[in-house]
Amino acid sequence: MAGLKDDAQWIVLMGFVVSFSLFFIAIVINQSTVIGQTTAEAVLEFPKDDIRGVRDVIIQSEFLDNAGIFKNKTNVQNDIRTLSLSRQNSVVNLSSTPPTAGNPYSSIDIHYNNGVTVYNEIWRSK
Amino acid sequence: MTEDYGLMSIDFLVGFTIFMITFIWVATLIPGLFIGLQSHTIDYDAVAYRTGVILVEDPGAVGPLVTGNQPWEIQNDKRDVARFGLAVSKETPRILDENKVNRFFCSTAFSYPEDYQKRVIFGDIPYRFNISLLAVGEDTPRTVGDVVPDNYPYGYIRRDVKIKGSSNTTIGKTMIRAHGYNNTGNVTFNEFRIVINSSHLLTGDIGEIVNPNGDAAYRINPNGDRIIINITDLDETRNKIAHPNTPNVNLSNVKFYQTHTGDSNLYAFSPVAAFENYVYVNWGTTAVKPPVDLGTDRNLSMIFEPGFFSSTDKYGVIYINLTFEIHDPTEIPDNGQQFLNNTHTRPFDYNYNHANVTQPALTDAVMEVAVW
Amino acid sequence: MLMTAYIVVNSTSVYTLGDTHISDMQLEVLGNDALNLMNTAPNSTPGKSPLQTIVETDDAETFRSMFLAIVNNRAGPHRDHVQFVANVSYVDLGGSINSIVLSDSLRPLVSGEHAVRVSDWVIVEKRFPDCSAQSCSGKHAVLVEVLLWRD
Repeated sequence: MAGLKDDAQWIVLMGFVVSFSLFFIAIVINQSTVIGQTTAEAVLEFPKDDIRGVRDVIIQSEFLDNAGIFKNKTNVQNDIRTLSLSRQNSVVNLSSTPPTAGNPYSSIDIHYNNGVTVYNEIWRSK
Repeated sequence: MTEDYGLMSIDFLVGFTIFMITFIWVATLIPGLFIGLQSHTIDYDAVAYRTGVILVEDPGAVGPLVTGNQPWEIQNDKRDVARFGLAVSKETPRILDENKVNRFFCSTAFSYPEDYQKRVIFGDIPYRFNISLLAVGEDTPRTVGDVVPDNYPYGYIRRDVKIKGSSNTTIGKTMIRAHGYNNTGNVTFNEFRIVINSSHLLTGDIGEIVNPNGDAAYRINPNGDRIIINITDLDETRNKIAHPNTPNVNLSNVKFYQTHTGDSNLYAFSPVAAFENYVYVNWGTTAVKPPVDLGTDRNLSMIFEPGFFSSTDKYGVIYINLTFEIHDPTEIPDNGQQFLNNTHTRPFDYNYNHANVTQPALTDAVMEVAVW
Repeated sequence: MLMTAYIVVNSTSVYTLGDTHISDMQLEVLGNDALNLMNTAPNSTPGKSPLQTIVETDDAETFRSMFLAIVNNRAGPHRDHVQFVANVSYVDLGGSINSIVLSDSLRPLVSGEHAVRVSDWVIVEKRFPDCSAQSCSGKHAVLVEVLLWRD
């Protein structure tokens, strides 16, 4: 290859370098819009108000009576499980311990799982 | 053969490709260098959202040197406030406490922007911001911060909230008659007692709320709330037939006692110097401290500002004894008269009975946070 | 060649402001606030929240005026223009889930506007869909779901 004029090689080489660097800068700038997207998506994805709402209604249901033909507490808690599964895409499990002679506080064991977020709590009354 | 072919040997191309791949991989580690040049615009909405959550859903936090359970809004030194938060408690998001709101927007207590940036905005970048709160029924919003810009982008969030007000009571002639707060004998020093049962107020039953989780929105908290007690129609408690002349009446003393949990002994306490003046006579605008002459109209109000009872035991009981001294110089001998007096019956209970005490009310409001 | 490849690959994912979901997040936060505040009792007696009364009496008018007032309120002079459609999901006698429309803001949802869904639980003394077969008493939990969008 001796004797070949090498000038054109430099032009092509520099062309490569310039296009690679443009490619790189374009990627870096492009990634910047994604930052805002992931922040908002993370907020939307975490079911903060869903969990708060389910927790509040479970605690409320704990203090309903379960007497007579109405069986309010059982019905309400079954409604919560069914509606959570079909409308909020989440599995809610709850089991409650009413106050006894030795322990005057009621406690509820709450489990919430919507496939992405899992929340477990043992709530005790004051 | 011409001389201008852009010929490249294969090994050169291979070597160059490997070099470029390595170079690109190293270069993707470089964006850290660009952080100084990054656009902050994308971040503004996230910062505004976070600030909105901290203000509306968090009750705030005090610094590490504060002892006891005192809330941040009654701290005098701003170093004792670690984080702002306007919610009544952790279990009651979106219900704001009126005292926290007043303190947050107080421009003499905290200065814009440093005090707020360290306690609610957080982060290294010195964001400028504007936080506005407008309650339904008010004309102008309360704001802290710069004016929101028109011509460049800013991050924004809007939150709807309720503001919890304070409780008060007015003991007038209907209540005096209904409870029998009038003695039948003639006494020079008539005592009227009020009881504030903190333990019952904080943990007792408050009515028909069936969700014990969110009841802090309706509770009276003597530790941090403002308590207003008005006593009117005092002249109606006298026996004007037996004593037709107008006597001199003054509030000679107000004594405070508290009990501690599990201990039924009474311990006297006095208000600290900052809260010394809490009596308003005849709808006056300056606060005085007893002894004070009640004049001829004989109306008095006691306004216990937030923090007045902060040194008392949260689960004890507070007793307030007012002593009225009544003299008629035209009567000889002066044996006193009937007046407002409940030593023969039970003290006035400042509790959740709607007939006796006006309960704290919730008013709607909207808060906007703009960050740029 | 590289630039062509880059342009081709990049054109499949054009990022606009709507794709960042920031406005969706702001709308969802607002809707959750408004629905939650409607579900808060104004005082401790009688302790019933306005939303409970609205669902029990099927009062579309009150829901509309209250919800629109809260959600379009601003600290400045101009009001926002958010519209909504609300329905109630319940478990019926047979155990299956159904929904009925509770209220709407009298504007149709035109496709192209991003809508977000917020929901809140209410315990009501009412048998859905009606109590012809059984008595009306007995408490049940229902889910009030609101779809909201900016006009």
